[in-house]
Amino acid sequence: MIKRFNQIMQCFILLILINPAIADVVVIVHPQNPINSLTREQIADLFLDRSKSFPDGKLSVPINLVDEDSSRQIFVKKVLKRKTTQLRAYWADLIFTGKGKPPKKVDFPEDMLDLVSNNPSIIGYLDLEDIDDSVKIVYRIKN
Amino acid sequence: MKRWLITCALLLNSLIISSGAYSESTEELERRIEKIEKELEKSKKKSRVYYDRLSGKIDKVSDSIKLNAFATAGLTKSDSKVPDYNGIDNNAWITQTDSVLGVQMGFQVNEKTKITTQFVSKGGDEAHNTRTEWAYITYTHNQHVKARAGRMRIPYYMLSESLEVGYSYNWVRPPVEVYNLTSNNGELFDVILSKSYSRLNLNLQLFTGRYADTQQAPIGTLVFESENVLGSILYGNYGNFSGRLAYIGLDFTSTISNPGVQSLDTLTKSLGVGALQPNEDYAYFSNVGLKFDNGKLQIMGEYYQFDIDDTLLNVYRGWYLMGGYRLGSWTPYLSFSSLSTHNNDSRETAIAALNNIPGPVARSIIFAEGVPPDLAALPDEQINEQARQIFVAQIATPSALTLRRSFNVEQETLSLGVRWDISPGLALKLQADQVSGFEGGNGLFTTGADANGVPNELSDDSINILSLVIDVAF
Repeated sequence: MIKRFNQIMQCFILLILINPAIADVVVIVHPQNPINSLTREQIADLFLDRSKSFPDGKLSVPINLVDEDSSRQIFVKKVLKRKTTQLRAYWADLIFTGKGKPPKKVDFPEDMLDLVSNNPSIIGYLDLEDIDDSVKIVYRIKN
Repeated sequence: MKRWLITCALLLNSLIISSGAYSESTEELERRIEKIEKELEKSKKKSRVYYDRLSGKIDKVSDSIKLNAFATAGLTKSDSKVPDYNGIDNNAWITQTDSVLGVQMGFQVNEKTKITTQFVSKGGDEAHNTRTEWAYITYTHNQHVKARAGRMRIPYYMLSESLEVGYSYNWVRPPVEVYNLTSNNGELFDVILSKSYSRLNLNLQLFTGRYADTQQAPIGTLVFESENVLGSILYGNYGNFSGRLAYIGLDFTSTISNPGVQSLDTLTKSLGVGALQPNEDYAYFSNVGLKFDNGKLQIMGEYYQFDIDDTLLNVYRGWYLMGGYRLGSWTPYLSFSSLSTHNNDSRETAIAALNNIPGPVARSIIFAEGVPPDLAALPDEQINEQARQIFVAQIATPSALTLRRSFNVEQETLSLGVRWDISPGLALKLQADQVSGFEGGNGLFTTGADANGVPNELSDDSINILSLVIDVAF
């Protein structure tokens, strides 16, 4: 019985060890953007087009990753706290009334990094593993 | 033995020679492969550059033209004794009432200027079929100032501009008790000023314009017109809360196709008790709307009132409250809405004036073409009295019925429904409505009329409607 238990425990430990650690998702801006940190609510406001500027009043341009991206799925769930179907209904209202539009999308993390590191107005998000010091972290989504 | 050795040596020799030749050809092959690889790399780079340029061009095109569309297909039926309610039939499932097809195209002319066009076709029989065409230019000066000009809908309500986009809200259709003022063909100019205070985002929309619209009302075809519409709307959001305050003033002209109502209008105007066909009379509309949505719980409510100076037309107060709760892809919701006219007194005043019409006035109307010979010998007072009695019986009494049944509107709807989000952009909704509280009037139902043009009385106390729709947006 004890032997059996040990076997199970070993399997369990092994599972934990081999399970690929999912890195945190971070919200990023250009290093020259004076904003050093944002709250979850502030980020949600920008990505839901409720607000069009950073807290200092400067224009903000949010950029999304494509729907299939795992970082985007974490971002939508933990920061926007919405489901993809719900977001579609939310955007349908804003698009057809002309009151707002969803952020533009990029296909790859490299494109996101490229855009954020080149434009102080852009705000995006990426897996922590995919960033370098060409961008500044303003919020960290703990996974 | 010797022979064998020679053979072996020869074989070995030939092997060595051939392997040498083999090694030679391998080197050459490797060189060739290297060459091919280099060429491949070059052409890859070329095609990458070409691809980047091409996709850049595609991006630019797809960035400057945006196409969005939405559609609703519906089935609905009522259990009313009255055949028609907003196009809803009482003995057959009909598809037209809620069916809509819309296409919106946005064309980004340059960084600041955008042209938006929208075409909406709403299903229904000829009387209920509406087509809307919008086209306007938006000039975005910066994130604080924006101006629009062109054909669009007057934004009376919170959902005015997305009324046909069923996918964007929970109901099968927004409550008719509130959403009963539409203006499909407005020409507007507006300026929207936006300002943020921390997380509070406020927008002030100031607009001016004009509109003309035709609407099917229980009493007949109504044609509305306003040459001067002036409005101010304050709307904003704070996190999950959003709200709206609107005040719109307009000069209001309307005509009704019903001949009975037309002659009644002439009469009430001459008696000084109000008009049924206002002519450039001042009208004002106010609306307050609130919405909360935290992703799970959704609460929404709106109140409005519409007034027209010195009118016998029905001027309304209406409100609704809707609550929904998302459980995965299912959203059950409950909604209550109420509509009432708040100028019933003015119609009672008019009815009293008609019943107490002065004899000489009644005489001038009833015996307009001369007093009949059999009465001509009577004294004036008696002729007047005769005319008054005929007037009360033939004009005042049916007019009172018309005014009370068709213009005193009271109605409530309790709706219970569920929205099922099948996949992004596709939703199915099932909704049951119970409409009641008519208080002796006909509510918003079309009951038909008798030989004198008097609307029939609504015999139902409560009417149930069941609707099923599929909404898409892409």
